[in-house]
Amino acid sequence: MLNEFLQLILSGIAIGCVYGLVALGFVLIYKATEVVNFAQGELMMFGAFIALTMGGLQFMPFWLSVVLAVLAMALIGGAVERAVIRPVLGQPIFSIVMITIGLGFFARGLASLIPGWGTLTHRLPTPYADQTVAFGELVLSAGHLMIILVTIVLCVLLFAFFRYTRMGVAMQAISQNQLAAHYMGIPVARINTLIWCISAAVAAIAGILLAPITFVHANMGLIGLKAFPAAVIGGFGSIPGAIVGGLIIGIVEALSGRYLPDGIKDVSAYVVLLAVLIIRPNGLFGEKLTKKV
Amino acid sequence: MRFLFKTSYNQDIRLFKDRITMGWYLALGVVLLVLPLLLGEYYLSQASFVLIYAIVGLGLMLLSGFTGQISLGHAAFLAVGAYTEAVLSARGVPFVVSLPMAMAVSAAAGFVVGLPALRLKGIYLAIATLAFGFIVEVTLQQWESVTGGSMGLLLEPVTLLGVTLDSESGFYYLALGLTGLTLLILKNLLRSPTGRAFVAIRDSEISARSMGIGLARYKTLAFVISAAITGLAGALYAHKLQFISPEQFGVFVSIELLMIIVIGGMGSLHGAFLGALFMTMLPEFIAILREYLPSSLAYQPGLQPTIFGAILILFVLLEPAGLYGRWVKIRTWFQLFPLYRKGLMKREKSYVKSDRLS
Amino acid sequence: MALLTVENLSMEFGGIRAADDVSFRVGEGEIYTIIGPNGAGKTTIFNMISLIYRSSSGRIWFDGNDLSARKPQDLTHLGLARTFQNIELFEHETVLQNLLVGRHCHSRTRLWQQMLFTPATRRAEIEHREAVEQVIDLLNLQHYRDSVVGNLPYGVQKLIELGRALCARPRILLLDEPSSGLNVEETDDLSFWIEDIRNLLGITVVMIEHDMRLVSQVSDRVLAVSNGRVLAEGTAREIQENPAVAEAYLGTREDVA
Repeated sequence: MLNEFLQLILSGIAIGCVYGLVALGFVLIYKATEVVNFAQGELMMFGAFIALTMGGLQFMPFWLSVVLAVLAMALIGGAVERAVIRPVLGQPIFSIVMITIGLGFFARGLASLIPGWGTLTHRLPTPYADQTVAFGELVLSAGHLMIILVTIVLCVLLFAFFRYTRMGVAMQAISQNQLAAHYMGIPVARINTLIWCISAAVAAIAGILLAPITFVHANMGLIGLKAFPAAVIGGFGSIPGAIVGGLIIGIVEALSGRYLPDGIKDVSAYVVLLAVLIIRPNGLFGEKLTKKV
Repeated sequence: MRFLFKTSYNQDIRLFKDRITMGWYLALGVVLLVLPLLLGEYYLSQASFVLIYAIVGLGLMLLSGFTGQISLGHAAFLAVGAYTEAVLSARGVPFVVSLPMAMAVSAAAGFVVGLPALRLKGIYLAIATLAFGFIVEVTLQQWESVTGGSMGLLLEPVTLLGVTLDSESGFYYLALGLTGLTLLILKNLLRSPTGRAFVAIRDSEISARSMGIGLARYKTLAFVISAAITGLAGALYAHKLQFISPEQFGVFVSIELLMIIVIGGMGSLHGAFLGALFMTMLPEFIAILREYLPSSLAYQPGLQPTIFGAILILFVLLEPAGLYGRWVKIRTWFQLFPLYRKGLMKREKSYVKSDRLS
Repeated sequence: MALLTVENLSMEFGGIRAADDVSFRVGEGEIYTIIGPNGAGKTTIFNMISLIYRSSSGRIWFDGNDLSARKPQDLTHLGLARTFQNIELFEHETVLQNLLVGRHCHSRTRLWQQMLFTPATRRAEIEHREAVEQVIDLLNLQHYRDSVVGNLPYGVQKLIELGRALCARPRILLLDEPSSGLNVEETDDLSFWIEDIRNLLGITVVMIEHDMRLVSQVSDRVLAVSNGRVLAEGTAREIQENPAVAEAYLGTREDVA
């Protein structure tokens, strides 16, 4: 009984990590530019597909296809920012929301039109798939374990990056006051692009991690919609909050899938979201949004 | 260029700027009235859909375009109106009673969303409305005793005052009348203190409040009125299709509703109509497009979202003022000919306007 | 009885006391100015009076009403209107629309009447228009009536903000740095307008100002604050000659040496 419960919690944590990574991508972009990227899930989906396509090539070791996919997504993320997002900065938040929603639609449709990708569900061959690891009486799938490990490593790396590198500090400056950062000589526009690159790369990693569990298909990105509650619960401006939010959602979903009636599982994330917002309108770790007059 | 020499306050207040403008709209009205004589069954049916979407557009425009509250789950109000109407008319409630009731239930839903929404700003509000939309969709699927779940509900054609409107033109006139009424009420609101209060909230909440506008009251009011209007459209929608099911009210439908006002032009009532027209015709265009594409592309289900997404992106990038904005520019170009300056309507580009604590 | 009484008002943000035990009274028909170096807490005081901030301690009495029991949107109904240091106008709307919002507290028609635009609503609208026209005439805003506010020059926008507050027909007007960003001519015009507002319209004016010329021209009494505390109160002349005030602005001998 207890074992089953712990098992459930662990798989919830694993999925939660994926939500957390996608939410992390949102939060990175939001912190810098106050843009909410509704297409984050689609970036994740593209990353998984590129890894799939690369992996399908002859003599391509798995780790290399992962690296290439991440790099490719970083490039695509940067290109998207340059082409679509940069021209609309300064417009009201509604327009920016709509353009990223449009981006999501477009990417999803495009993925299903690309030959070889299409509307089918594909299996991403990963070296650790189907393996399990035993911790005493608990059995974890290697897929889940990988997700948790990679998320931890990624968080540590990002933390170090933002705290200790010049680029990271510059990004923090931008997230607080774009105009001031600009006056200080920080190339704001270029760094915005870089943030999208990083965010897309994180999304690609999330996609590859998720692939063994949900398989690769054009609608994979819809998980991004679940990551929203994660980001909001954590408070939209907070990077650790995004992960915590993701974990909360993952665990709640796992538990409600098992113990609550059918169909509640899909909606549990949103119920938790509304509950949190009612108590704390700015999320658990969010900043107070008041205008100074 | 036509100059308006105003000699009374009524000229500012009245619905039409001047006789000529009124003339144009009267002509439009006449065309709309005789439309059933000009169009065949199929296109008349599409016209009815345009009207239904125009009503939703008006409701959503009031909330998002005029009061500045983002609503990503608006299909939920459409659903509430549609399902209430379906359930009531199946029980034999006459249309003249069930329609206001559908609107009332929708309005109540708007209240439920509006009240907590008061404390939420910007993106948090957007995501909360998204969450609401999902919850309603899932509730519709699960609450089978009332909604019939995924099997959906069937409806009969509308019976109004003893007359059964089971023809396309009958339904069209009903939709036209209700659309006209909605438009009139909204126009009246917008030239009164309440309408000004809504716009004030959109542009500056702090000074709206300091001028005596209670934010709680007016934001909730905006949600309630918007939901009621959308519920009306939902009830009509249900009767038009004569069958409703939860899939018709999902999150993608909410996005399509938003596209109506974004493509039409935020902040203008004309925008709701232009957007509705565009969004209703778009699937037709895609169908025609399909005939020219190689068959590998043409019959993919992915074609529609790709085109929708591309259009949305292009509109926000290239014409943020929407179809109505573009029309105003064109009209001004003609009026000012040859003195039109490109920068006339240019918005000042600013750095990211931060909502956060400075 | 003073029209506005501020008693022991304090405001704490975290560990910082933005306002510390501030008290003053403004009589009806006075032009009362608050001066002080930047960061002295002047706008904080205004924000507390107009209930944008909830004071940490102290009381505010306006026209016999205890404001701590009220909400920000009640103030214009009670007769208190304010302008903002950084312009808070409705930038997508015309000047006329902006001014009409100022009349909101005088709106007597109900929702259903507005939806149907009954004759009562029409009459009310014309009344509002007439009242707004009076303000337009006073401030010479006729050219700008139908212009979109966002496109207008800064000086005009400041004037519109003043006009909007006037449309509420307040008994007391709080002006936050009305002359900031205005040139010399515009500031002179402003001093005439402020006097007109008091003399012709009978409105009491409380303002925050930096321009000492303007302050000495129009003020009846001046309050000097620094670091959130009241330094001195008196006529403009008395304040200018007060050594404590000079020290707050200019520093002491030791600072210079």
